[in-house]
Amino acid sequence: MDAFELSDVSYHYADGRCAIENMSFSIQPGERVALVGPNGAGKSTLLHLLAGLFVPTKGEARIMGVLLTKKEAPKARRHVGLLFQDPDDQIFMPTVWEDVAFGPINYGYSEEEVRRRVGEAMAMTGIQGFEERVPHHLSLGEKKRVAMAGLLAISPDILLLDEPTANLDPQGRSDLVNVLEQRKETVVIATHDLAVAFHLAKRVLVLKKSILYDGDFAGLVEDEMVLREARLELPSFSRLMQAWAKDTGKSFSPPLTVQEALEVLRNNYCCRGNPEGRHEH
Amino acid sequence: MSHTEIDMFARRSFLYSFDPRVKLLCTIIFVVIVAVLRTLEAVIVAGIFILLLAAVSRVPVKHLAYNFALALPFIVFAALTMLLTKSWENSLLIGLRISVCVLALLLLVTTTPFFKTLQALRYFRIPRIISNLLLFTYRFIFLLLDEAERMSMARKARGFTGGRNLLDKRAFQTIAATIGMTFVRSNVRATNIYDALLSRGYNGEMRTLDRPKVKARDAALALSFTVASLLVISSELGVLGWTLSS
Repeated sequence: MDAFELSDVSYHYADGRCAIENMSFSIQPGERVALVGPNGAGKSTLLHLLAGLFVPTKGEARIMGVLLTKKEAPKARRHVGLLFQDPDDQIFMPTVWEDVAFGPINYGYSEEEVRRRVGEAMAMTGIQGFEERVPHHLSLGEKKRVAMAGLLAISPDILLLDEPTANLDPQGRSDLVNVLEQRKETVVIATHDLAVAFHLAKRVLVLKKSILYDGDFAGLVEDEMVLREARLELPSFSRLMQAWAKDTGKSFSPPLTVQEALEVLRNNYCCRGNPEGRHEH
Repeated sequence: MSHTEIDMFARRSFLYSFDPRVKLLCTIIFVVIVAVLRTLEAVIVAGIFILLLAAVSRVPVKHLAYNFALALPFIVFAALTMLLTKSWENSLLIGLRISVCVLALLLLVTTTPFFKTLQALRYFRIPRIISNLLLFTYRFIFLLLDEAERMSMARKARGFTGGRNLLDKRAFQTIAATIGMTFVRSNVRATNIYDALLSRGYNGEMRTLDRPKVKARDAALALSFTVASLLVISSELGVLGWTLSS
């Protein structure tokens, strides 16, 4: 059974605006997929749809085998946890502990089970000791971790993340990436941050109302037309390496991570006869 | 943002640990009794009890005064109406009566986390739609204030200093646009919050792990309300004055 199965799905808002059009794809359980595309490409709408919050206006969508209809939406939602871009949209309760416990209590777990889940989720996201803190007084990075803990506490089969690293400082971004890296669930990340997408996902869907590209990142970075159409910008080290390749006439695929860039440099320049990778003066 | 939540001191209040259902029931009965009082003496006795309760509650006077001030225009309006249509005694009576009721309800909501107050309401079979309306209204008031505050700062940052006089058309246009935009933005935010609740299994019912149990101290609180109510009724019927004078 697929985690998601969309066939010819379109979604129109009440004012008639078409957000996504004739979209078909499926995502396997345990797969990690990045959704990228320009602003207004339909990423958030698609995430809402995949979370069972919107029902397609045309076509069929299945979440863990549950056909997404108005009636079945609550059942479908049980499989999915959605991390909102702005944690203030998500954090509702007066204390951190109560907010993380909100989902498990709603799903009717016993008191002991709720306490266990909340404790584990808070430990995983590194917010132990925040139990009695008032969420409104936390920093943005801390709020994101509280929101993430709220999702992990309900142990969804699928994690949907809307711009999880937006507005975070480098440390907050790296903390969140570390948390996500350890997850075994199906993960779908909508992001503009290609470096994070490279790091966390193997497959990428490029959106612009419909799907412009569906495949791996290696194929995407070489498809200049899609990159231009979707207004995507490779991370600075990839662009540097591309420029360097152009200058020196060398040929290699643009590296996706710093480690890959280092490998390219080692193979093409500085390491000839110098395994330590140091320049000899 | 700088606004204060009404239950921000609830957790440190002396009255926090009492069963919210007992607090709610006692307060409502007390308010009903005060609302039908006809003599100034009885209202004063009720007022003294509420002020004593406020003193032991450990809720800062400033917080109570601030929230009371929000209701003050309505109290003054009612008192003024009575002053113009009846007598100053009636005006004073109605003003004090409403003030005591407002203070009693304020004490209830400032010493009980809002969520628990709503749970207590649900316990007494208040329809789910009403408790949900209260919950979302309360949450969205702060969203509205947040949005309004952000937009006010954005206005100031771009040189808006407010109207120079009451007939400043441009100032009115700016403020009207801000109010409209505040509602639009708050609506988007409110929709997001509701979606976030749905995605965490919310189905309209408020659930917590607390299984409130009435304890001896709750009985003591109920007893103190009963004694106070009896004193107020005695005073209303003239029994208290008669007993004290004889």
